[in-house]
Amino acid sequence: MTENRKKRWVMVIDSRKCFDCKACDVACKRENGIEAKGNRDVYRNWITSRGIEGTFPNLKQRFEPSQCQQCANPPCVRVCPTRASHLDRDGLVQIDGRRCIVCGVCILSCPYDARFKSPQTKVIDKCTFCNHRIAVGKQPACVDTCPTKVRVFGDLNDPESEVSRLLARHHYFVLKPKSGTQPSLFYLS
Amino acid sequence: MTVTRRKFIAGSLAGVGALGAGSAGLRYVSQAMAQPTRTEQTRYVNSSCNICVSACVFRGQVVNGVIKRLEPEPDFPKSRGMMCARGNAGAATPYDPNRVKSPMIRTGKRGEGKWRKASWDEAYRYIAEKTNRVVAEEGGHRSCIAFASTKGTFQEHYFHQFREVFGSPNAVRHPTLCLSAVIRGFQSVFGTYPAVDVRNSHYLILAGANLAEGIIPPATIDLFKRPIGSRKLIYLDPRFTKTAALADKWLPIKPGSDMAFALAMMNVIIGEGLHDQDFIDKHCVGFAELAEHVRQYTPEWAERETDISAGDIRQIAREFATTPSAVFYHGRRTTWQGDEVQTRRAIAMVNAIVGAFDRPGGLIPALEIPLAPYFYEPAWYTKFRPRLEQGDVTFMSPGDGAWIPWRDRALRSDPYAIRGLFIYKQNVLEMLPDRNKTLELFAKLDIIVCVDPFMSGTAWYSDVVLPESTYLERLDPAVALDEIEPVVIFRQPLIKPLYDTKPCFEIVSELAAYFKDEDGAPLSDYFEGSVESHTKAALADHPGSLDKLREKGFFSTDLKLKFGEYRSGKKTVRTKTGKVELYSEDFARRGLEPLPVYRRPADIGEGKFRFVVGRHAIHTHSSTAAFPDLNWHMKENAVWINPVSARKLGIKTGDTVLMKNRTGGEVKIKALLTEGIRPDCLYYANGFDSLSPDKPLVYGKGASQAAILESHFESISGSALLHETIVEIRRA
Repeated sequence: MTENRKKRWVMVIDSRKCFDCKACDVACKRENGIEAKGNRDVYRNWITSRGIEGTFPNLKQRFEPSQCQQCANPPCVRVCPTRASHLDRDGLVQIDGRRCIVCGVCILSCPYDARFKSPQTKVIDKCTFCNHRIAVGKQPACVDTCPTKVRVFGDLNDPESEVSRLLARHHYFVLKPKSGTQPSLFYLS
Repeated sequence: MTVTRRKFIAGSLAGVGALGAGSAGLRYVSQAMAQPTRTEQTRYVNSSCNICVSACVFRGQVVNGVIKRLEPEPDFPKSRGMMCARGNAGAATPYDPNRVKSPMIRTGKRGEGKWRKASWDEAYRYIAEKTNRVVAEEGGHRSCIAFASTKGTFQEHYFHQFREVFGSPNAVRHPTLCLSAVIRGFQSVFGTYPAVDVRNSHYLILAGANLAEGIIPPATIDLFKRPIGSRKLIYLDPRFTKTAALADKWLPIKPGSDMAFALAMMNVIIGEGLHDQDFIDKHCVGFAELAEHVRQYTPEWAERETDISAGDIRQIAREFATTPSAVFYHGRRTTWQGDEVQTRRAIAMVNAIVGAFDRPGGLIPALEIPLAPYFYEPAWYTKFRPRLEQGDVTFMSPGDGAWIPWRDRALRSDPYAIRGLFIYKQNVLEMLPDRNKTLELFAKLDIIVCVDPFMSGTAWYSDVVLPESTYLERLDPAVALDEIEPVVIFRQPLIKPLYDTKPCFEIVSELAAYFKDEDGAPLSDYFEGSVESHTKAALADHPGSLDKLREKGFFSTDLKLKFGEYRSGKKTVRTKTGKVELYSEDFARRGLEPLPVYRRPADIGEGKFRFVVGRHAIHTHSSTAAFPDLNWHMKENAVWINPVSARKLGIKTGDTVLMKNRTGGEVKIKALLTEGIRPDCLYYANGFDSLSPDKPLVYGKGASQAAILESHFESISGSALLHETIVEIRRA
């Protein structure tokens, strides 16, 4: 893989392997120094579930891990009045905290509810795909820590990468495709 | 999506700037962002986790002297490069403001929370004076002092070294609250509590073994990480757990009837000739007796006992017998109900008759890398009494004891009085069933000493608390883990101790100087070297291994598991007959049933419920519910109740309910209506309503399992039977 080639970082998620152990959430919070201090709105990634569905004893439950979708067409970047929300060199949506005036419009604009106001930095915060880890060749904390490796992270521009191979071989979907955001999280179906 | 966040946004965002702290926020950020770049110094230290017994190896990231992350070590074979929520949250433990920061001596009444800080010398002197006085009053019988401890640290053996040289037989450890029954059951059949080759099994039956929430590496990972459809998982549990969510088939079995299910499986397998005759002929004894015995246990009979249809039982039995890598997972905590050891024997036999032993995907005795043993001089005492509950249990493990009968005898001073309790890490008050009984025992004791980094409920009710350094601040000796892929691990400090704390070895070897043996020699004479020298000695046969430990946190050798060594006769099963024992002459000789005989659990009675316990992936017993990162996910526990039952009692989700057991235990807790539990059962998670105000996140929040569980045990292994708890519930 040449250094100069443009990256397209994506995550391929196999929700069927997720058993809701919360390792991704805690690893993310430790990695990124996020102290929720009991505040239920403070988190960068999450696992949603409709709960136990059906009537005893015919039951099912599904878990869907998610986070900032790192959209190729990100509404949060479009609405940001100060360009605090921007696309970085690798095309990832990042927030420059120094420019953020905490207007909160990006929170409203995000169809995935991925953003929140950080109690530590007092500005808007969200998943960065752990770009500080990518920069040193590591995987995002949520990917790395997962017992069953629900999330697979990699460069979709590299045809040899695991993510490219997975998407070539499996059916998949993205969340809220109609919003036109072009997410970088792909869910195997 | 996340409802709370949406609500928050919709409610509070009136327009641009409404969320904003504006310039104040900006200033804060620019300072925060300017700081790290220049001075940041990061180093990595590999060590092993201590938040549960699995001891996963991690890469500890220390930034400017502060532990930032415990990342998974990708090469560590046991955990397959993962770190669970609890392991990640552990990074914050040294910095917990509620740690015990120096030795503490109680000044008020027990449990009142009045303490004074003490020097180690003062604390040791205080303990020794009280203890020696009590021993003198008991005529020099040191058995009046008992020692409770739990697995998980690698320094527990030092605590019991102290007990042995001090001269007390009364050790009470965790196994009878955990897996003593399954160990005894499988040992009686296979001569060992084997490993399960989950990775290579394509058909698994789990009976109550909630591997998605009771995370056991590598079994949990091997079961759920693999491609969907590459295995079939049959899961029996009165609750719809997260394992149930990922299972191919969930069967809400009637609690206490697992043996009936196993016996009926054998009825089908043998009746239809699906058993592995070749394996049985070569490697088993007692098949004829077993075949005759299980003829009575038809699937139709079992349907009435288990609430699992005869059709399902037949299908599972057939699939199990005809899938070459099928295995019936043995389980871990098996403190359930009834004839627990015999239930585990029946499950072991299901495996045996299809040859699910010493083959890929089956049961296989684990391997352990040999380390040089730790030696110390034994102390000899003329005044000796056997442990309290010696005669109450058929297979007594002298180093473990049996908590339930032991506590009953201690309460009655039968046959002699227990006057003091030394505790290492075990949260006796919050883990033992029937907290009232434990409090009653505590009230009888003259001296209670607790070694713990945290003010657990047990520490709160002690006389002296000796703070141990946390697992991230200390060196722990090398330990060999017996596994399919055996490894040796240890612990090394990531940071220096933040407070006036010590590792267990230092604590007990220093305390020993304040005690004498019968000949007047100080007990400290029995303690030699240091954790470091013990580690070096243990590794003597493995040159260069200490460097590997320091670098990677683990090492393995060329010791690799090979299947077929028992089948070929190279290795022998460690039973008396050297064969897999389906009929146990040993049990018969001891007056126990040589084959598992099913007895229907007593009817729980109209309007009553069976209380079942179980794990949650973010909790290790009672010890982690107050970790801020984990507590965030569950701030309070709630009792699961099926809506059909709840409707009859007028209970709705969020209602406060009163639960009462048959022995005076009662709790108040909020109700959670869920389809995910049998209508005759109730459940809530462990770790809440701590007795210790120094665990503020769980003090007075929800309810404690220890408060509602009744105290029962079975006498073959001494295992507690937690699910024998029958409760009433009503709106409070």
